[in-house]
Amino acid sequence: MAENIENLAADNGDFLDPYMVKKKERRRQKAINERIEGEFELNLNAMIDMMTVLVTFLIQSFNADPITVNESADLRIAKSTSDLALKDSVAISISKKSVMLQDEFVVSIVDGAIDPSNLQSAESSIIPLLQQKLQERLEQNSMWAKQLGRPDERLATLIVDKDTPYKVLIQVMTTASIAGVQNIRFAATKRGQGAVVKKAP
Amino acid sequence: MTDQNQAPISEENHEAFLARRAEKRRGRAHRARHEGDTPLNLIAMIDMMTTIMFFLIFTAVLSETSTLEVTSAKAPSAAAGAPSDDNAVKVPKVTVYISSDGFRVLDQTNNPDFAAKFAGPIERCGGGAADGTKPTICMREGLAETEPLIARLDYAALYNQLVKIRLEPTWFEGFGKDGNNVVSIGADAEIPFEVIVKTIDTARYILAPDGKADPGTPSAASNVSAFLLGDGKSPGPDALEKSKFAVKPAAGNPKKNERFDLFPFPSLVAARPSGG
Repeated sequence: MAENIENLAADNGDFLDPYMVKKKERRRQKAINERIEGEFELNLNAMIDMMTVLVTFLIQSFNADPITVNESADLRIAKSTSDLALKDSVAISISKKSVMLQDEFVVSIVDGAIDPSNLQSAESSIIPLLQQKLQERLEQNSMWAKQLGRPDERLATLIVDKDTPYKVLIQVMTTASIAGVQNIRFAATKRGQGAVVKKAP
Repeated sequence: MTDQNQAPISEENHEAFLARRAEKRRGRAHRARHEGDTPLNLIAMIDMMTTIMFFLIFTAVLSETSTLEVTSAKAPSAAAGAPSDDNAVKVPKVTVYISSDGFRVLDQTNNPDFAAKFAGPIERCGGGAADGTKPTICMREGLAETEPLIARLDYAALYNQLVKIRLEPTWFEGFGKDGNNVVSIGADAEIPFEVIVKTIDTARYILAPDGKADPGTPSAASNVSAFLLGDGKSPGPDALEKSKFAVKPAAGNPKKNERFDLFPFPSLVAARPSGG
């Protein structure tokens, strides 16, 4: 250290600033240590740029639909060319295993059919438990609509698994109509018209 | 490395040194403020962005969901109204019934013209009068029964049949009035939902057949064959899938396109008991 100070003094031939000398020495030592120990500073600029782009893209494509359609192995929705957007409504899901109102389990489906014990009678299409829960939900929604000064649309969106038999669909739709639902929509994955498909053999 | 090792500094020099050091520090602080030289601590920001990114990746739904409006089996249907004028042409109320052997195209008003022209099996399916035993549109040929029903049903032929019905000059003007542009869809109990949705999609709008000249605006005087897929013979499924919607500029907004209605309002009717 003392040698360095003397050398510097000799080189410059003027007043020696001990502070600067110490600082230069510390920097040199730090650089040596970094080279030896591999402690290089990571340049994070590229990573931050990439993350910003990704976050922006994800926020842009973030699903802001009023109804969340969560597909699973038991609930694969059909494809449709319709371009009608999802609307805030009562969501009824019909999967391979159950009928759900919003996120609440209502009745189970076994082998593609609703157990007759859950129907009003063996020949009936009405599911009393679904009717009761749906009526409660619709009354709640009507109350909210009245308080907020919005029209009471009594709309239900059916999120139906693509393999659901027509009989189960009609049972749910009939029950919904009796419970007071006035408009029914099916949720579907949007597909374009004009796409090329694989030809059948 | 102690102070003892450093070169001796006189009192005068020491004061000058302190003054210069203070000046340098002021200069550094000024530069830091004005040149943005302060190292920014990015760790908190990176942490936050990583968390947001993972949340968005896990919650992102990249496929777009749309909805299909239908009238239900028991809800009051737009099709319920009957023509108000008894002397008016009876416009058929079309029903498409889906079975495991094909589509049956029926008319709820029992219009004799409809029964004679459109309800019977099409030429490919043997032709003849409608007696209920044979479907109007039979299954596609050359496909094994193990193939899914949605692949075996002849949607392109169904589309052609519906276009012929819709563009029939006798009742063309009557469609759209009194809810006649509703198509009722019925099916056997076991028919899967995706088949229903595809049938609704097929029946809703008029297409511009792929590879053909623009068929123009549908009217009572239209050349029906210009609207038919595969020249009306035996169109394959690709003829339906490749064709785009026929469109015209929307009335209020010329920048937007409007589709031509075929039977845009589907109404589902009760299921037929299994095996019936």
